Order: sequence, then structure tokens, then C-alpha cells
Amino acid sequence: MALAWAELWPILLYFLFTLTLLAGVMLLSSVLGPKNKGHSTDLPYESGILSYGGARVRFGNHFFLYAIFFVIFDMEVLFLFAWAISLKESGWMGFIEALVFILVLLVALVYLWRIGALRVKAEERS
Amino acid sequence: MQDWLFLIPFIPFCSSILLMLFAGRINTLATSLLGVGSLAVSAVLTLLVGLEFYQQGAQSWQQSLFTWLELDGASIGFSLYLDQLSMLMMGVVCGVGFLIHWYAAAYMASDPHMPRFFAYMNLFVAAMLVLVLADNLVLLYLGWEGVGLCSFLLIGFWQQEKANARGARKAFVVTRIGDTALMLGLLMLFDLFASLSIGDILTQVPQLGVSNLDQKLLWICLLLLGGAVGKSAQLPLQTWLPDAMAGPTPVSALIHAATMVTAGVYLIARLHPLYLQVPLALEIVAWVGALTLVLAGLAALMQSDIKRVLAYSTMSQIGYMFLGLGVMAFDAAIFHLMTHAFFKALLFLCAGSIILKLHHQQDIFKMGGLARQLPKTSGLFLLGLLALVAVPGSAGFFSKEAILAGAWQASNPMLWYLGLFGALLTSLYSFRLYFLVCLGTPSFKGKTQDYGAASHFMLPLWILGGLALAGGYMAPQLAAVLPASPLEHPDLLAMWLPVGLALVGLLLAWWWFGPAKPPQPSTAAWAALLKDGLGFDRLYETLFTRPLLWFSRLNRRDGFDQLTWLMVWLNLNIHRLGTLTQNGQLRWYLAVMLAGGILMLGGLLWWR
Amino acid sequence: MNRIELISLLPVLVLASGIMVLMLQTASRRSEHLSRWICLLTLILSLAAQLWHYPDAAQPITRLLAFEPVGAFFGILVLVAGVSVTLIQGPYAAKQREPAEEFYLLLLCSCLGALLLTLASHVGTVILSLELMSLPFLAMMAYNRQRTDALEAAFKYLILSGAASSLLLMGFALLYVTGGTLELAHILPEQPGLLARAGLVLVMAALAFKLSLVPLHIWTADVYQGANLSATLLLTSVSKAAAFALLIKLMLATPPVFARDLYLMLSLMAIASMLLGNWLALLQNSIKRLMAYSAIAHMGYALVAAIVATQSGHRLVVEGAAYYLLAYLIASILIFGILALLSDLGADADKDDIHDVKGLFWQHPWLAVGLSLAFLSLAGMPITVGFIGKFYLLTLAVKSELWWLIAAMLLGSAVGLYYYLRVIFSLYAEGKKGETAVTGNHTSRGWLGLMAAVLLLLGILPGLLGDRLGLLLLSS
Repeated sequence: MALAWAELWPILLYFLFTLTLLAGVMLLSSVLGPKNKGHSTDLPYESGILSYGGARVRFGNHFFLYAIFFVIFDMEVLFLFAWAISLKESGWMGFIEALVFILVLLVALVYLWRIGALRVKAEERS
Repeated sequence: MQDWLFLIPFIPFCSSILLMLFAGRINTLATSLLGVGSLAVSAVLTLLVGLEFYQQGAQSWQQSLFTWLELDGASIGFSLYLDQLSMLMMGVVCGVGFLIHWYAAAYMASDPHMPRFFAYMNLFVAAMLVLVLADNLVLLYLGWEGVGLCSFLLIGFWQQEKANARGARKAFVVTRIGDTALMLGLLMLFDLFASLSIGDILTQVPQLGVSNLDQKLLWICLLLLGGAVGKSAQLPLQTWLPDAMAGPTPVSALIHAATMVTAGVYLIARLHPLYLQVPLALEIVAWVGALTLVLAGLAALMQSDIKRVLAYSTMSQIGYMFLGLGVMAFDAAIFHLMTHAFFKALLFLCAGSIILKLHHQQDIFKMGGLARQLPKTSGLFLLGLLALVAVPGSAGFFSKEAILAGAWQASNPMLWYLGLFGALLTSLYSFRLYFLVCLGTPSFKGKTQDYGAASHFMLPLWILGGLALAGGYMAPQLAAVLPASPLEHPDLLAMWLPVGLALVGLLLAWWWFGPAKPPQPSTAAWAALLKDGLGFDRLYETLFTRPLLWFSRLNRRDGFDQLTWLMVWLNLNIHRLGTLTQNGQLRWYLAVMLAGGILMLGGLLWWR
Repeated sequence: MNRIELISLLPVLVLASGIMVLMLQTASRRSEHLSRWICLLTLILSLAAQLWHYPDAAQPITRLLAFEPVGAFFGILVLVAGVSVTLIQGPYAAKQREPAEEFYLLLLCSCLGALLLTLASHVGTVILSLELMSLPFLAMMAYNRQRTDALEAAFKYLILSGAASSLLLMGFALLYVTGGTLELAHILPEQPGLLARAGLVLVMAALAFKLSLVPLHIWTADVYQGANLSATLLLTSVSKAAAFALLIKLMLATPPVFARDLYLMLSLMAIASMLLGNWLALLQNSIKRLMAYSAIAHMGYALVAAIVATQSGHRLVVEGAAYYLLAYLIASILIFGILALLSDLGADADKDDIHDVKGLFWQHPWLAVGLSLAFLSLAGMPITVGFIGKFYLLTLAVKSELWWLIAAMLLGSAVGLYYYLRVIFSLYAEGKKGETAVTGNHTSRGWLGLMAAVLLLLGILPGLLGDRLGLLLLSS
């Protein structure tokens, strides 16, 4: 136990610090914050519109898909960038590897394009 | 030829498998061809192997097929061993077996379950051959259990009737007692010799010397005797044999007269060097045989069922063989085994023919006068009976005389007297049987015609009849395996006394059961006792069965059961508790998972 | 990267190019049939490559991968499971309305991940391939989006496996902090501090999640029950085999100082898994749920081998674990395959209730016999491969004198027998009159028949594979 203590005290300290910080913030805000009691205080989304309908609604997600595609291809450009700045050092081997990488990306792009994931309007997608 | 030895048991085995597979899909002709043909091939092979064996004059042949079990230091091979003794046994099994199969093909022709019948019969022959050819005791035990199983299956062949099933069960359970003793004996043998190969054991026995092992050897001999007694229906495990007559008659002829029931005799003859070390065990063997032969002879006197008479007579004749073994006339016992196989098979098959002609009438008091209606069958029947009575010149005479000569030499004269008394009884019940069945006035309705001389019912009988007549001149060569009987013959009186007694028996039988008197079963109390086989069944029931049933009734809701139920209850409740944790809520699952992780971390800290 | 390395990577390369071909094919012209055959061909080629070039010694491929016998064996298991799922999926999914081709794409991706995991020798590869294996599962689980249960299962798996991955990352991070290396072989320092130990425990916890070992087993039942049969089969075969490969690798690299800590922890986990898994399955009516609990128990058994690995000699241990997993895999393929023949992915639920298969024998005797064989094998009855697997483990445990584990194993097997037999009895009971429809073509049935034959063959002649297995894994 003593050994554990010797090794672990920074972590414990960290935990304690976090706990006190959080507790302090919440305590302070409850002490210092104004306490108004209106008729809409207990309603959800006090600052926006009232919720209506069920939560299980289906909504189009193709913008979300766009975002995802963007992130993915963006990340992959990152790799290409890393290769580009070390083009000379990585030599032909690196060139072939990058070529394979780009090829894979291309295939993925063709796939996405052909299955219609890139079309904006929902009704155009079969 | 030597390499073909394994084929002899293998062919019937294959045929049995084929019959089982195709049962219900092949007709009668194909069934008989397969069932009888396989035996014919085996018999021919036996003949060829036998010729070569005797020509070579070899002591023994051995054929190792494959290693079956690996035991500590002693591997049990699936290997066959042929010497003069097993050659003789193989000849009997295949030869007589073939004739009985042949007959059975005619006898069972109208039965719808004929393929099943022949499947069992062939399996039996295969198992019996494994038994006699086995090179080690484990293989022998395999054959031993195999023939027991087939006996059970065939006794209960017509299982629709309760009595048959009961008979089969009884046979199985009673012989099982013997089998257990045999198993224990084998285990003790293994303990003693660290091997179960028969050859190994027998060569080691003389080197044992007389030491403190005696007690152990005695126990081994007695346990082996227990196995032999169970299988060969000797006292005190004899009660199953009469009830085993519930099976079809060829089964009785093959299994319960010619081959399986003599397995006990074979076992003791095979392991005789063990017994030679322990004179007490030999004496017990002799006494078991002597008592059985007398008691069974007495019981045979009062039976009214033709097959039960023959069953008790079988028991009595095997008693003679045991007597022969016990007085060290081993070769005589085996000789009697062979001749007995001939004439008893003949008798059973004749009985089967008679029963079939009389529409499954087995009561001898409802027969009579068959000598006129079935002259050929009756003649053969008489021939078999004469051999059984050991009339000079017949097969039974030579072998029985040899056994009695051995008994004459024995230390205890009582054995000889019992043997003589047995001879008297044999003659008495044999002629009673003949007089009641074949002479006198018929007490059944309708007339019958005898079988044609060349029908399948008669052909095997002619051959068996010939063997019953001439078998006595084919004294087997066993000198290489068994020690010879004492050479000196008893004096003339002792030699001819059994024959005289047989004559007396004939006269007495004529006096009591002759055709002059109207046949009717005796109703006296002692007759009923004899008819019941001296009340052994009732004795065993009160001694063993009833208490056991009583105890099991008492223990119907036994404590151990409650313990088991407690375990069930416990398990089910743990299950119910456990399923409470699987409530399907993601937050709970996440919490449990993280708690598990923390538990593992905490355990690391705690238990370091 | 030289030629030998490329050849060693051939199975992986075949799989990867198969994925691209499949994508192009789907993009140009959709055809379920064609996709299935491309997928099958890819897997079989990969399997052939794996078998053709089986490693006889550990051989590094860059710093990320290592080609070595133990991993390669688990790779074979992964590919066999992949082939089975491909064959089952065709008839199973014939009537559903979603596009069918993507399933094979996901399947190949998942297999690729699993195969890489068996090759991994670096933390980076481990994490990448683990995610590559797990993420396609989510889509495959909820392939029929009309099934709410399936969506629920996929979501639960997403959240919970995310949590487990975080444990894994945290664990590796702690190990990296102390050791300063990310190579699996050296990641465990010789003189460990508490941090390193905690890191190892966290990694173990994440693996325990993948292997559904107590106390991280809690997700198993719901996910198995909700997911469709193909995905469940993948989850129980591919995922477990690959994770076990990693576990064995870590175990074999464990320095003795760690071994003492691990021994107690893993023993307790194994005992708890064996007992709890079997107890939970006791009265289950859903066969998928039952298989989930039985998976918990079986992974507990397999863990015994890993525990022995911390104690003593390695060769038999690996052999035992490999044989046990092989036995488990074959039985699982048979069970899920046969259930898939009876079910339809397009329907609202699979026919996995014990009452759905009641009296199956009287309608489809061969299927019932196959199911019985598989359950008997899981129960460890003689003449099935499951018996030999258990026998290996028991021998190992007895040799190492792990009596508590043996006791738990025996108790667990006894309890297990009850519910396996319950299913088997139900198969032969007097059933409903209505004919149960069976899908399936000759290929899928033939494959299941082959599996049943292998199950019996390896059970009767264990030496057939056992000796070879020993030779294959010996060099490790």
C-alpha cells in the first residue's frame, strides 16, 4: 500500500483537485447566481421554442454525410501532405505507396459517386 | 491359409452388419443366402485352415491384426490365437453352426423378421469365434459379452410376448452376475501378471511357485469359475437356461446347447494351468459339475415341455464336462463338449421339427405316437437320445466313458458315484421323453406327414445324425495343449457299470412311462418341486429379488435425490439472480462495465 | 518492404484488393450474386495464401506487423469464419429489402481488420485493426433497419465498445508512459511500476470486453440476441478469434513480474466467466441469447489456456487454446448456420426461440442432427471435437495444478450440459405440425455438412490435426 501511495499520489491529487474545482464551480454558481422564478423557468429550452412531437423522427442526414466525407478525405490529404514534403527521401518506394493510396481513395470516391451518396437532393437518390 | 484366419469371424460379422442394414429391404432368399452362405464360407475356411494346421503339425498360430488398447506396459492387441483347442472349438462353432443355420433358414422362412434373426445369429457366431480365438483375455471378454448380448437378443426374438422378454431378461441378468465375477477375475489376473495375454499368463504360472500367492490364485480361479458357471448354467447360476428356451428352437440348438453354454468349459480348459496350481479350485469345479449333473437330471425327469427336458439335459451334460475338468480329465471334457454339440444340436433340431409339425405344441403329454407319423424325424431323435444315454458305439459313449474314467481316478469316490447316478438319470429321462413323444397313442388331433428326406429340414439332420453316431471315433488331438487324462483304465466292472445303469434306466422308464400306460403328468408335491427345477427360482426370489425390491420401494424418495433437487434449486436460483443483472438498460451496462474495470484495477492494488 | 515481406502479407493484400474490386463492382452494376462470389473468392484466395505460406518462425514486417505461426493460425480461423458467413448470408438475406452487396463489403473489411489484428506487433496496428474489425460489425448487426432490436443492439455495441476502446487506449497510454515503446513485444517493462501494471490491467479489461469475459461480459446477451444471425456469428467467431490472438501474444510476452499479478486476476475472471456464463444460460429460451452466455463460459474455458501460459511452457498452451477455439468456432458456425437456414433476414425476427426449433428432427432430420452435434460438441461430449478441446485444456490445467480452475471448469460443464441438452431434447420432441420453411442452396448446405463432418472427424481422430498443430505452432 505504501508503495502504491508513493506512486499514485499525483493522480489522487489530480482527482481531488478536479473534484474540488467542479464542486466549487457548482457551489459558487448556486450561491451567486440569480434565482428568478417565472412561469417558464421549469420548461425545457427556456431560451428557444417549446418542443413538440416525438423525439423519434427521421430526418435526412446527407449533410451529415457530406461532413463525414469531407473529414475523411481531408484526413487523407494530411497523409499525402506528409508524403509530399518528404518526396525525395521516400524515393520510388514511397511514390508507389502513395500511388496505391491514391488509387484506394479513387476507388472509394468512385464508389461513393456511383451509389449516389454525393447527390444533394434526397429524391434524386434512388 | 494362415493369413486368412481372421476372415473366419470377420465374414459372419460383415454379413450380420449387412443384414442389419438391409433388414426389411431384402427377401427371404437373399437373407438365407447371406445368413447361411457366410457361415458356409466360414466353415469351408475352417476346414482349409484346419487341414493346413494339422499338416504343418504346428503348436500354434498367431495372427495380430492391430493394437486395440494401450495399457500401462501391456498393449492389448486384436490378435487371434489358434492351437489344437481353439481349432476344435472353431470347428464345432463353424461346422455345427453352419448346419444349424441351414436348418434355421427353413425353420424361420415364414417369419417376417428373418433378416433380424440371421443378423443376430451371424453376430453370435462372430462373437463366439472371437471368444475361442482370442489371444488375450480382454478380447475373450469381448467375445464373451458379445455372445451374451446375442443370446439375450435371440431368446427375446419374439419379443411381442411378455414371457419371452422375461426369459431374455432373466438370462441376461443371471449371466451378468457371472460376467462380473469373470471381470473381477481378469482384473486380479492383470494385477498379478501385469499382462492379459493368455500365452504370457500361462507361461508365467508354473514359475510362480507355491507361496503366499495361493490365496490370490484361489480367488482368481473361483472368480473365473463364477464366470464359467454363469455362462454354462451350472449351480448356482443355472436358473436361466430353462427359461432361455423361449427363443426359436435353432437358437436353443446353437446357443443354448452346442456353443455358448460350453464357453465356460472352454474358459477353464484354456486356463487350466492356473487351476492345476490350486487343487482346491479344481475340486470345487468337480463338485459344481457333479451336483449340477444330478440336480439337472432330476429336474429333467418331471418336465412336460420338450425343450425344457432338453435344456435340463444340457445342463446335466455340461455338469459332466465340469466334472471332467475337475478331475483333470481335460481332454475328455473337451471331447464330451464336441460330441455333446453334435447330438444335442440334433436333438434340438428334431424337437424343432416336431414342434413345427404340431403347430407349436411343446407339451410332451400332448404328443405321442409320433414314431409312426414322423418316422424319419423320430428315428433321428432316437439316435440323438441314444448318443445322449451313451449307448456303446455312439458318440456320447466314448466321451462320457472318458470322463467317468477320470472320475474313477479322483480322490473322492463320491464324484464317481454321482456321475454314475447321473448316467442312470440320463437314461431315465431320455427314454421317458422318447416313450412319451414317439410311442403310445397320439393325444393330438390331425395327421401329419414327415418331412421329405431331402428337404432343408432333413439334410442338416442327416449330417448331424451321422456325427452323433460316428463322432466318438474322432477323438480330438489335444495333447499339445491339455495334459492327457490318466492312462490306466478302470477295471471292467467300473467301465461297464454306466452302460448297465443305462439299461436299468431304460427298463425303469418302460415301467413308469411305457406306452402301456396313459400318459399324464404326475401331480405329487415332489414332482412339482422337480418340475420347478428344485425351487431355485423361488429361493433366489425370496433371497435376493424381494429384499431388493423392498429396499428400493423403501428408498423411493431417497435422501440423495433430495440432495440433487437441492442442487437444482440452487442452480435455478443463481440463474434467476444472474438474469436480474441483464436488464437491457444501456446506462446500467455501462456502469457495470466500468465498475468491472475499476474492480480489476482495485484488485491489482489490493492483491499485489 | 522487400519481396518476402510482400509474400507474407499476401493474405492481407488479397483481402484489401478484394475489397476494392467489390467496391468497383458495386459501383458499376449491382448484383448480389456477383458480390457474393467475389467475396467468397477473395476469402478463399486469402485463405489459400495463408495456408500456402504458413510461417515457420516469427518474422517482422516493418515495425507494425509480424508474421508468426500463432497469429497465422488464428488468421486461418478468421478466414474460415468469413467464408462461412459469406455462404450463409446469401440464402439468409435473399428476401430482405436493403441493398445486399454492401454486406459483403463490410464483411471483407471486418475480416481484414481481424487478419491485421492477428498480425499486429505494434500498438498502432492493434488499435487501427481493432476498430477496422469492430466498426463494420455495427452496420452488419443492424443490416435490416426495420428490426428495432437490431438497431438497439448495434447502438449498445457502439457505446459499450467505444467505452472499451477508451480503456484500451488509456491502458496503452499508461504502458507507453512507463516503457516508452509501442512495440507489443517490449511494451511491458521488465521492472514495472504501478502505472505499468494499471496500464496492463486496462488493456486486459478491453480485451475482456471483446472476449466477453466477466466482469465485462454484460453486453453480450443483448447484442447477440438483437443482431442478425450472420453478424452474431461474426461476433462470436471472427472477433473472438482475433482478440484471443492478441491476448495470447500479450501473454507470451509477459515478463515474470507481471505474471504473478495476472495469474490471480485472470484466474478469478476465468472462474467467474465459466460459472456465471453457464448459470445465466440455464433457462434461456432464445438460442442466440443462450449462445451469448455460452460464449462467456467458453471464453472462460479458453482463458484457462492463457493462464497456463503465464505459468509454464508455451507450446502446449498455444496448441490447447488453438484447438479449443477451433472447436468452438466449428460448433458456432454449425449452430448459427443452421438457424440462418431456418430464418429470414427480411422477417421481423430470427427463428431462434427454442420453441421454433421444437420437433425439427421430424421435419428436417439432417438439420436437427447437425444442430445436435454442434451442441454436443459445445457440451464437450466425446467423439466430437469439443471433447478434445476440453481434454487439452484439462490436461494443461492438471499439469499446472490449477485445481480451482479445474473445479470451476467441471462445475461449469455440468451446468452447461443441462441447457445444451435442453435444446437437443426440444429438437426431438413432438413438434408442431406446420412445415418449417428452409432456405439455403447446395453450397451453404454442403459447407455446413463439411463443418459437421470436420467436427466428428477431429473428434474421433484428434491426432489428425493435433500433431500437425503442434508442429505448426512449435516454432513459436
